[in-house]
Amino acid sequence: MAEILVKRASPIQRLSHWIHMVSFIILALTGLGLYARSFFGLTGLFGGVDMSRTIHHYTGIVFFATTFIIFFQWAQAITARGEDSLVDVVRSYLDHDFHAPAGKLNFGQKMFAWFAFFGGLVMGLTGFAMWFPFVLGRGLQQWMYFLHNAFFVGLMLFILVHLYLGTFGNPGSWRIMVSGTVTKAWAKAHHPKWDAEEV
Amino acid sequence: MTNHWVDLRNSDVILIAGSNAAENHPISFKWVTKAMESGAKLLSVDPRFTRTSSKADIYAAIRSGSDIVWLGGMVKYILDNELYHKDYVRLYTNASYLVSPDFKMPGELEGLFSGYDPKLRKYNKASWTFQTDADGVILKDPTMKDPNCVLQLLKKHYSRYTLDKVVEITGTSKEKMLEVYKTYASTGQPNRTGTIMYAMGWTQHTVGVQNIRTMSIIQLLLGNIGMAGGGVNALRGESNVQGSTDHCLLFHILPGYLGTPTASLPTFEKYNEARTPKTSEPYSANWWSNFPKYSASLLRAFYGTNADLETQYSWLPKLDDGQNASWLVLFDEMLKGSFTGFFSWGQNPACSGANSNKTRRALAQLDWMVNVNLFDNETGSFWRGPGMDPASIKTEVFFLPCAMSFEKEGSISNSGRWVQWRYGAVEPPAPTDGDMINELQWRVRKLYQEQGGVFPEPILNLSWNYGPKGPDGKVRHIDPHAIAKEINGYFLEDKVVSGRAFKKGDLVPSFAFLQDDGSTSSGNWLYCNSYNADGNNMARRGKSDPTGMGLYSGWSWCWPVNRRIIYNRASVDEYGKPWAAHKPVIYWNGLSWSGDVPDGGWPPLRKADGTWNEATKLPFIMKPHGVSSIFGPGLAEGPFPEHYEPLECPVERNLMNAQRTNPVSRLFTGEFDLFLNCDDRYPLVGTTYRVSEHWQTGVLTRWLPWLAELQPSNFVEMSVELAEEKGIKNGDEVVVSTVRASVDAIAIVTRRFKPFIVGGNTVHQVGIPWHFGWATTAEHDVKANGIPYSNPTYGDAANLLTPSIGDANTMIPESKAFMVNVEKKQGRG
Amino acid sequence: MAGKMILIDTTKCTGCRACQVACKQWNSLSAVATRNLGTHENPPDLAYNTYTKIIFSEVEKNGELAWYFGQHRCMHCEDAGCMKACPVPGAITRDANGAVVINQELCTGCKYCVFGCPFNVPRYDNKNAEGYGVDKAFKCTLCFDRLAMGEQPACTKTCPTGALFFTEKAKLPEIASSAAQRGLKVYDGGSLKTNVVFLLKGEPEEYGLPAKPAIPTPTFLWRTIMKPLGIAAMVAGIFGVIAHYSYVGPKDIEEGDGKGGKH
Repeated sequence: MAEILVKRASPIQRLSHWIHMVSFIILALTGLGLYARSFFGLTGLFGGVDMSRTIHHYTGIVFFATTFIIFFQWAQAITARGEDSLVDVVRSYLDHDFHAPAGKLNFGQKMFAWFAFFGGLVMGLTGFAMWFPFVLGRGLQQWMYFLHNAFFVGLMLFILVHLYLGTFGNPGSWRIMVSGTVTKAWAKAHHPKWDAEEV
Repeated sequence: MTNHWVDLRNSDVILIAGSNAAENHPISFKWVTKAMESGAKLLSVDPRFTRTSSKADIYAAIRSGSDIVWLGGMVKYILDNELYHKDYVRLYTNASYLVSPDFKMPGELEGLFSGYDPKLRKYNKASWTFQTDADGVILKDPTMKDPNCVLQLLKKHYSRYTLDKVVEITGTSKEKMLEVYKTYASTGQPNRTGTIMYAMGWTQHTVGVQNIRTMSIIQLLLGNIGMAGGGVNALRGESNVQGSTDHCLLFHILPGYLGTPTASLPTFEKYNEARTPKTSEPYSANWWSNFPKYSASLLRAFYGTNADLETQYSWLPKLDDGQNASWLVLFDEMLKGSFTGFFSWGQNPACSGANSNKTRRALAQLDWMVNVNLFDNETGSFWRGPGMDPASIKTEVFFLPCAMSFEKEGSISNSGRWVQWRYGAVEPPAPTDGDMINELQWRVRKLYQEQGGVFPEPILNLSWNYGPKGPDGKVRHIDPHAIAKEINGYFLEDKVVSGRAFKKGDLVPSFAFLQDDGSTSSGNWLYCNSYNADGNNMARRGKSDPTGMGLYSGWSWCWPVNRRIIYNRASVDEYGKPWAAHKPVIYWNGLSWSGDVPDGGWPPLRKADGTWNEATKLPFIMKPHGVSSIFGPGLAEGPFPEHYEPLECPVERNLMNAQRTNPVSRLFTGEFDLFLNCDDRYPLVGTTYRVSEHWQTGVLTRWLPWLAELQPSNFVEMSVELAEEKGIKNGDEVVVSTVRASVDAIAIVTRRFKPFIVGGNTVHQVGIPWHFGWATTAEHDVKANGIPYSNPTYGDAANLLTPSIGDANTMIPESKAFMVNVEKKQGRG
Repeated sequence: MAGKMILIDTTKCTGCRACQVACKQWNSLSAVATRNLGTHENPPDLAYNTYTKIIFSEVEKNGELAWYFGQHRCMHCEDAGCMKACPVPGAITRDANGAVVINQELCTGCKYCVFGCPFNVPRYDNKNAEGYGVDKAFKCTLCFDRLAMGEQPACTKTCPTGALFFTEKAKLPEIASSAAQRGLKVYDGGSLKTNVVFLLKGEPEEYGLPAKPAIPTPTFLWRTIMKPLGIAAMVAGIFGVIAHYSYVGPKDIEEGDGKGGKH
């Protein structure tokens, strides 16, 4: 019997996310090269530090733009009031049998979305400051470096979890990226309210 | 300098006035700093708080042009408190000499000394003389109590220079000035020494020489001359000015300070007689009595041996009696059309001469001018300068290149009289000056030979053995060693002098061996000993200092006869024991002198048993009477310095006496000789000065981007108070003007200038550097090698502002005190 | 470390700026086209072609005027903010003499050092007008090339008064005690342990020096705290995910739940 498939993401949403994802990977690799001298070797992947940095700059623009696009694509879901809570999120990570009463996005996903948006914003703004460092003044500019790096670490951690949950952690999620659909069972299990109300 | 640079470190008190040594003689501060590390006090007296003042222990501000007042006040302070070195004053100065009772002083004669002729603006010096006995020996009062003795007259004269008067006229702070007096007068103790470092801030006044005379009197009273860490030390304005003066840059002297012949001295005999001072003082060495030896040797150096001395003397150019051929007069005459041609050799009169518009206009009266320089300058290009119409200027200008001092071998004489031989560091891109003069004389001589002419002898008989000659007899290339040897001098025939036999062609060992019969030559007797059988002494680089006094006698050579501190026999007492035992210059060991080269080898005044030594001579050997002159009748204004205001000054009358300005200074009255005094339109005292980063008129330094970067612009420094009054902000473009001209500058508003209270009124002073000129400004499209110059400067010459008036003795222009106005430049923010 | 230091006795400095010129000469640095800005100071700031600059500072206290001369230049810190900030291995190094040097061959022009310096010294330039390099940071090198030949730096060599003096760092305690006798303050960058040491008569700020020099707080947080912590966090994150996968396992809807049913 064929699976019952439920549409979860439009092609344009998928495309946006793909672009966002690829740009993030590029940014992470080129950025890590300048994050610490021990990672400097990574700049070799991109043909040296100058090219690496140039790629970082322009990829940053793409990432910054898609941050907004994706946020607004999902804005309704992100801002929708849910019935689940942070406790539910943690519990659902640890207990396979527990399913939080999540809507289209569960509490954790909303948290991630906000952070991805806010983090992307900060990375973009501080990134531009670092690209053009003589605009803000010395005192402020010094903080830009710190913020860029601090949010980089934060984003890396969130993305790590996001990546895990979207792939190995929750089998069946990855297909959203491929076809934009999920199985009825997946939807019902992970997003019971969404499944009940909208699908 | 009577002393030398290294010797500054031996001072206990260093007074820097009329000089901003830290900025303009930076290396001198190496030694000032060393002295201070050993506990010396540094005093700075200056209208402006300078970089020198910033290092000083005490700073006192004075208005430009009032130096005699505060120095006179110091004389009074020293005498009133009996802080002078009594033995020194009694033994080594003319303080005990009795002056003619006819002599009257400014206190009695409305600011004049006796003998003034207002029509000629000159003194008859008949009363400025000493009383003598029947044998011509000067009457003295060793107790120095006689009212007609020099010390009492000095006391009387300066009794008028009270501290209140000093404050009233100079605008200084009473407390600070008193501190200066107290500290400096402490060097009157025999074992302490004080030195004065002065420069153009003292000389460039109508009373320039008298400024220095006042300080000399102080140094003599305190017993500081001849001493280590003492002396009167002129910081020369250029690295080789000492050399150029020694070798007769000036019109009134021949090399070695031999007075220029005048038309009224038609024979060599008369010339020698007139120029050789005489004395009846039994213990005076009167070294200038050797004058005929030096003049004869000079003639031999000029013209060789193919004529007798009388004939050779007749070839020398002579001044008319009373003729003054100094800078200001030369350009005054040039303006009147007295010259057809002019060589401007390594100088820039269009910026360096006072009242530059007059100079620039004078250049336009010439038929031709040759500008010899490394770079084009305001002089060579005067015809295309501001306010000039090239079409109407007839002067044909030739521009010849030359070599920089670093590009040729030769000697440089520094302020401390050290004559240091240098090799050429790099090859010059152009012929050296020597080779150009060689070429010039060769062609001129040829023209005389071929075409004859009026009075050809001085040219045709000129001795010219300065290097290997070609078959035509022309010197191929000038050899500086040949010149140096000629300056030292040769024996021209076999001769026995003082028991030593010399062969023809031998170099003369020292000037004591020069002869008046024409058997020796010497291009400059003072330099005789610089290049002799020992070799080129100027090239010596010995670094040992056996006395520990920093004499470094094995380093280069200094005139006279390598004596590092002149008048050093005044540094010891009657028995030859140093006044300051811990820093002896020389001392008598019972048989001879040890230490520096003494001023003659005569024994001390007294023998060990206390009796007078008949073989002795007094220490001031260059003075006719063997002692130094507290009473100095040689100068034009009077035997004691008296305060006169600058030609342009901020007061309507001299607060010291009834004469406002120097009564004997020479006045010019041409259309460019404009002066205004106490005029509302020009209410500010102006002065000019230098900065570390530029040299002279900046012809060399304005073209060096690294230096132009540091000081890119004419500026005018002014007080915060004046700026407020004028609505000028720091960094504003302003115009500095006098009745003669105006100059653009950038305002530097600083607390380093403060308003003065002079005679109850507020007087502001401003200062402007004189290194700039229009030729390197962007508005004149300055180009280097055809492309716009990277570092154009701003503003024209400060000397456009300065007046054509000079010191009555030297004619040095009064560029340190004149009246100006400063306004914000119109149409600028 | 047998380090050297430049001792700057400000009481001896006359502001002649021979050091500025000597620096430009030795390092072949071009002149800046300047104008007078109402001060004797020039050029206006450090730059790719200006490694050192004398500060002129007029200070009036209790009616007494003082004119101090300070120097803005690389202080060659032992704890150097620029080195901390630099992300490129070997681009900023310290040699045995204590010279902190930017290697323009390796410099990537990221400007981190420009903002990491407590003394606001390194200058970035992306013009190649005179061949100093495009997109690089520049600063005083302590004339490490001269030191390698046994010479002292150009600035100390040229200083006429001995205000700039090149000596052994080990002599600092001795110099400090004699300075104290003269009533001078020793300014050695505190914990930064600068290899350029000032003797000051007035307050550090009166010479254009920070009163309490320290690596800028954000730079410290970023490079000293954040950088290792971030790496640790990222590594921990990876291990966390692996741990979750291993101990908790994936949340497989099809198998683990069953409620969805097999269709």
